[in-house]
Amino acid sequence: MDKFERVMCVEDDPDIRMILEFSLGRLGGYTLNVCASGQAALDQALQFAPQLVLLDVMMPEMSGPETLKHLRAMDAMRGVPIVFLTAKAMQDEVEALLEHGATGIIVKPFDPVTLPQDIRIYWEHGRGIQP
Amino acid sequence: MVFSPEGMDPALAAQFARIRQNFVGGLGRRACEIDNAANPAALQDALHRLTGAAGAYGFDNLSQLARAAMQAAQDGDAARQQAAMASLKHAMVAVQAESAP
Repeated sequence: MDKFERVMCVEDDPDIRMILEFSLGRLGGYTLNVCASGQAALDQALQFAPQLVLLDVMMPEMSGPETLKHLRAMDAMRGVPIVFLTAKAMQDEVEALLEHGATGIIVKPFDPVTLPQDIRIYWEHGRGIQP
Repeated sequence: MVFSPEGMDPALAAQFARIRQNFVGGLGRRACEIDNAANPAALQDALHRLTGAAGAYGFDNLSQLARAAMQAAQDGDAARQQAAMASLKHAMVAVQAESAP
């Protein structure tokens, strides 16, 4: 069975990037690749080979859904769970995000203590599934 | 959700305290972003980021006030937005004052 180790986080807010590093890196023990933009994620995805991507929805230049579309176009990324991070959680918005091919949604603010386990559940249930 | 470092390894708790203080130190910059937002989309973006960041650092009240302001702006309700923004600014100043060394 694969070991869940590598997580890519894509988030434009520096304070949220910092707490993601604390939560998933220090508390969760994952190996992280933290990107400040969708383009940076696209540039590094193949080399880092994430086992799960945590992707902010609202980002300047390249939005989360647009980044997801480009990631899903890479063969190596098709079965990788991609979970949106969003501060908006209206039901219709959630459904629209899932229709983009996301594995799930985590609503901000998230709990830094439980986030490592939350993403593990998405990885266990979402890996290998090609939306 | 209120994150508490109680029971956490002291080194981790100290690291969390440092990054939390860093967030508080950036509240002035966030207030400027909100004040100087060039258009409704920029304002929404600044409030959206504050909603997420404040809550993750355990500042639930700040997060809720930012969300209320964001919702009022989205609804185009000027009076509610003005009131929400005033409450938000007040709360940002209070957090900075409480955390001052």
